[in-house]
Amino acid sequence: MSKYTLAAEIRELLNRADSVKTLALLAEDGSPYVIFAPGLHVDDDGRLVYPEAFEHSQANAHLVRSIWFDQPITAALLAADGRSFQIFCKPYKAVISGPVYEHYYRQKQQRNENFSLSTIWLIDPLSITETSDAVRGVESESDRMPLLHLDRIAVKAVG
Amino acid sequence: MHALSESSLRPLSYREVVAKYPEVPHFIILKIDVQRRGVTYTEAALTQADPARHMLQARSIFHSIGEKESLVPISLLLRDGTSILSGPRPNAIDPYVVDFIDGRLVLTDHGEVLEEVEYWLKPDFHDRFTSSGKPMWQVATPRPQRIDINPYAYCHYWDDGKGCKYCNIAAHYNKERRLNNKPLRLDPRDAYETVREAIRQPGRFLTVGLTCGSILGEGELFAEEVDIYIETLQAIGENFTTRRFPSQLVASAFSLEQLQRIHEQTGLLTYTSDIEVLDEEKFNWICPGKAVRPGYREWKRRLVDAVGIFGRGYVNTGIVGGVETARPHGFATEEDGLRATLEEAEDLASKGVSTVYCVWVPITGSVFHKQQAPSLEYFVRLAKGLDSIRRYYGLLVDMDNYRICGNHPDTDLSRI
Ligand code: SF4
Repeated sequence: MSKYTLAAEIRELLNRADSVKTLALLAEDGSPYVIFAPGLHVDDDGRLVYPEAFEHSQANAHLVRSIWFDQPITAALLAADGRSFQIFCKPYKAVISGPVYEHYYRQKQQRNENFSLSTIWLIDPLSITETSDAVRGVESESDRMPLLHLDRIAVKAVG
Repeated sequence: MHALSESSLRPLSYREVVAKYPEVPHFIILKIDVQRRGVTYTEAALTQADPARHMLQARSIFHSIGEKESLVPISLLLRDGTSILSGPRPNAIDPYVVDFIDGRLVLTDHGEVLEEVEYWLKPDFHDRFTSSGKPMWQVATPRPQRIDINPYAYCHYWDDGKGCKYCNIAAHYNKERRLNNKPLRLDPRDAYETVREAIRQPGRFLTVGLTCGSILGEGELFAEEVDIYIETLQAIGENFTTRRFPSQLVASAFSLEQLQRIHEQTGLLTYTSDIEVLDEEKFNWICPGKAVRPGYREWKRRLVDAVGIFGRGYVNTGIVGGVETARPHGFATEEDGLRATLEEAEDLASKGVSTVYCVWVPITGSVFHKQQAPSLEYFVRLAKGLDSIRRYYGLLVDMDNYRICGNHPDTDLSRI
């Protein structure tokens, strides 16, 4: 069971096919590595689940590095209604065999005979931030001196 | 007495090694130390071992678990997918302890919780029987993703007492034959049927591994061993639609002609021949039988020959990491042992042969059973060294990696 509980609405958005989901990982040199992750979803324990197709992919290597060296990863979610979220996470487990692995294996096999499946990554969410403009603008700008171009407050010439 | 870390008067502990080598994942350091020191289980942990789900019985070439006596987990799996082949260690002096705390199975050391663990899971074929009436778990020993088959249970280097000094195969076979009627020779049809059943489980197995003791024979060295492997591999191969199938043979150092015969007549994909000790003088002392037939240099030469047949990345050799420091004729210091081993491993790598190691466990039934394995730090440096050599020579080791095999800390490091 994940220690941090994602709100039911977020879980639903993560499990919807019309949401866009990405995973931001750290490469060995510290540079960001972002992948689209349509297969990312939430399991009954509230963990994020990411089935990685390729054993030797960069994404898989970055995930291994993350679980080995306790590096953070971030999932980004764009809902069909335009709202967006960032979920800060850590990988919990690399499932490479057993019933959970075999469940996804069969699922993939049924959809496409020429499938690949390396690892089912179980990922613990740690916190979430909404990143939709309306929300992050209020959050980040409210106590600050406004960054306001003067033309926007200029007296408009008449006629 | 083994050499100690330069900066201290005693070997570094698990925590100290983790702190000293931040570039090595703690999972792999823990795996090494659990193998070095052994592992036991609390009552609470044992109640979590479910005979319907977990592997609590295995009949392998070097040990058996659950033949008759109480059932204990065969081995462990860590969160990152790293396997710990823990095996039975009834005489371990300071073992790690698996406990069940707050709803989780955990590895503990003197009460400190270090990591979550899982028990290896039983494959579907485990409780089934071959048409000849053999329990399939006695025909094949599964790892999380590999089916292990031992076509022959004895090693004839022991016929004149010249078996390898760290190896318990003869004592183990003699005991198991007496107590549990363990057969010397596996019927290839049983192997065929067991593999047929095993691969009905989608997503469970990635490879088939074959190994047995060396069979020297009267005439051409290893001829009978080659015949047994060919027969078994051909039977297993009937299960697959492709000519070659993912497979590993861990066998004696066969001649070029023998290797060609195996390659041509079976679907074998990869070949391993364990040289065990990477120094000629120590090899001659520790493996006296192999030292004569076929000899250290010839063993190496045959490994290189195998690359010409199976290809780069499809041939490797195993060593019993740490045994080169055994008393009294082993390397006097860990530093010397590491240097010599890595130099020889580099020579092999430059010719296309990878070296992988298993943690030496001075096991009951072996000549060295009263000896002491080197420090944890030694094994960590050995893993790093072998992995670095492979990277330098661009040698891939997918044939023996963390999920195909799971018993080599150095190939665990090669995962990324
Ligand atoms: S060759 Fe050596 S290690 Fe292998 S089974 Fe025989 S005695 Fe044991």
